[in-house]
Amino acid sequence: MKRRMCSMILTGILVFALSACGGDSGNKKETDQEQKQEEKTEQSDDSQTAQVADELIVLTGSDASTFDPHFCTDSATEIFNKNIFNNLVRFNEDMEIEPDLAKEWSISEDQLTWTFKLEEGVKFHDGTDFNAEAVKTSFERVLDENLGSPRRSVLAAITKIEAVDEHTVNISTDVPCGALLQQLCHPVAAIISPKSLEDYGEEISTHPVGTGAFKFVEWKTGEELVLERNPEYFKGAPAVEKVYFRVVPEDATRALLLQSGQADVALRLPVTETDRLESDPNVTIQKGDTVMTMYVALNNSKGVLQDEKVRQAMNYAVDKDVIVNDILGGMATVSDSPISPYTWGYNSSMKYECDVEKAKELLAEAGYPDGIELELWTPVGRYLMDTQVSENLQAQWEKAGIHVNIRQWEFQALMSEVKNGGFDMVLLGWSPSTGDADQGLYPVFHSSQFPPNSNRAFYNNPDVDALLDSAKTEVDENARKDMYAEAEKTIMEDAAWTFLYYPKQALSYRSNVSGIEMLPTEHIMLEKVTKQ
Amino acid sequence: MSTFRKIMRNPSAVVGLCILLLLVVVSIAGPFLVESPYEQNTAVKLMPPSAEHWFGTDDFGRDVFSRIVTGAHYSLLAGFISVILGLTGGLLLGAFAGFYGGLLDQILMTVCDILLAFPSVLLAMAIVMVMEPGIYTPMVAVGISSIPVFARLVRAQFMSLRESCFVEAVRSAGAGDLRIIFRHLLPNSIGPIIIQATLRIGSSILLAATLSFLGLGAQPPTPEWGAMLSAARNYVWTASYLALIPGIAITITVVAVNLIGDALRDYLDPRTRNM
Repeated sequence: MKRRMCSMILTGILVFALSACGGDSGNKKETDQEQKQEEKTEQSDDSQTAQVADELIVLTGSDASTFDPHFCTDSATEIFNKNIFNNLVRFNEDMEIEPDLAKEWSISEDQLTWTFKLEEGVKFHDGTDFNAEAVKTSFERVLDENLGSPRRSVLAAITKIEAVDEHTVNISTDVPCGALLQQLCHPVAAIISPKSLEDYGEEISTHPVGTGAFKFVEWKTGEELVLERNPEYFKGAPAVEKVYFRVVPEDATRALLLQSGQADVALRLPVTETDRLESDPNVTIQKGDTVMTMYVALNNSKGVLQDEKVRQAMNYAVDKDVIVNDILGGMATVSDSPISPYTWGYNSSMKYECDVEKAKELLAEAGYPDGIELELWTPVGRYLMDTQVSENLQAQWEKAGIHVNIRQWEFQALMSEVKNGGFDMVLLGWSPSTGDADQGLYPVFHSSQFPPNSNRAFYNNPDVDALLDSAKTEVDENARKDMYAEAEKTIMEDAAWTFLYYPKQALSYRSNVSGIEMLPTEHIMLEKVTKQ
Repeated sequence: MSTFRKIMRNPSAVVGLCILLLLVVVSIAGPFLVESPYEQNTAVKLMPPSAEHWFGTDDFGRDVFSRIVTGAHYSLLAGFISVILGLTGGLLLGAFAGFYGGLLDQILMTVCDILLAFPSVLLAMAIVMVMEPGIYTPMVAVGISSIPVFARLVRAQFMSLRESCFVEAVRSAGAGDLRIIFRHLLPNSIGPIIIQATLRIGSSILLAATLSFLGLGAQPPTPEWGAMLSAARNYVWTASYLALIPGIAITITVVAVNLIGDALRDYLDPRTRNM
């Protein structure tokens, strides 16, 4: 007894000492930083240049999957890639298209060829020149069917890329493409250094070389990603020397680290944390809408979920208002379409108002008067309050006689398992980074896009396929909108998913940080960030 | 005086036994008496303890008291099942290794040494990883991870006893190996094994709760105490009782089992028997 007591006390002391050590090194770092800061200030007084902060620590909930933007499929990783690479054009915070690597552009009279004038004097991080050939190489890589980019469909309209001269590129499509500029804003249309593709071959996924505001330094899996400032950035060098993206899966820990000043920015904090941080004068919370839609992918090809009535029952059984107000603290709006209002082509088609009796009737009609049993896979910490939402869904479904068992997954493990298709249901979000209905619907509902692509519900309706196919090539905006409206309505009626809500996003940062751009595509751009 | 009454003279054993009995009664009868631990009512979420909700409500408006009561049997089961598993496995391996010695002993003990080199949490996590997560997974994992502990103990007992006169006597009377092992050696070495088993129950409960805390055991909405503690992390500042209550419940259970284990050891250990 005594000995155990002793060892317990010793362990206590050890833990205390260790944590104290941690604190010490933290303080030391801070004082070091202050000293450096002072030196910097002196220097800048002499040279009259803008002050460059030493480091910016950004806390993220999940780690990167791949630094090859042509193969990246999750928006958590896109945040990193967006700061390393540029596209020809980009969205601003209002989802309007702005020049990026292309200065200006025009379209031919037959609406089939787009001419882009490129920025001159831009260099990749490896010192090679950015030019029309680089654009051609990157786009042809995405379009190479043998290479199999999972986001190939985004650029699939492009049939020919021609380098007219060093700084002019022509992009042609066989049929007019109304959403081409939006598609070129998507992270998959990032321009990679052609030299790096040759140099690194298979290892390109951990050696990103772009033209972006920040250069890749190193990646410690599951721990941190280090980027450094690109002093030759063509839109002006950023005002931060190094950016550390640290992986801290625990929401409360991210909030605490931010509050104690050990981090500058915290991504994806739940409303429980942002509510608490809002009273802290040292922390700023920025909220905004997103193009994202949250849903439960119902496996349309498996078991009882093959029955449309069962899927409709799954929708009727859920009171989405409860989730939005009581679980998410109002940080979302209830879905009334498969895509969000911030996506072009959105049409408020229909809402599944909560009706438990109707859900029970539908189940009985489908031949399951005694209810059904299903498994729901849920990521942990990937989306705001994801496990809590799953747990609430489980309780709501239970009332309608739908017994659901929950299985929690780490996000990357979940994504690789979902590809095998053995699940009943999985809670996911879809963020169409082109801000267009084509990207919002085609990859997730077209029958040609089954996993490993993104139609994770294995939804298959020839009518919807036809509508999505023809809307892709329609130039007339109104006609295109009508087609999407009809497709959205059919998808809702088929109950391909359990449609949930459109989440809002919250970005939390220390009040001495400013200039972070938060796009509805959930991308966080750091090129204009400053830190006092 | 009977063994039981001797042990009962130790006050800490009485306390431990009372708590444990109470827990057993609660875990068997409790679930029939309380309201549903799964019923969500977000209108009354995160209410502090009150007359209506003795332990308050959680982030889904579920009654925490119901959840604690319903969850009690998971922790008790985790303790007992994992120890029974570990004990059975360890007993068999240790008995044969200790009785026969030689190459078999060397191989078995090397394997045990390798397993013992891992911290038990790590070992249990590795075992959970190859199984499906679920409520019984931590129990099995913790059980397997305690096999080497029991194996080593049993082996040591058997080695010291196998050359004794009474073993020689039964052997010359014609008894076979299995009979010697199970009828003669085992009863003579049972004391330390019982002590180890009782003390192990406490740490097993803790370890199983740890695995559930890490999301490797009970899946939501199972009211397992470790999982409840884990879910309460986000509310440490706003509703600290959510984390405190399952924490206290785990502590009380582990302390109760350990008090009994200590008293049992005091009684069975010849050096402290007269105290």
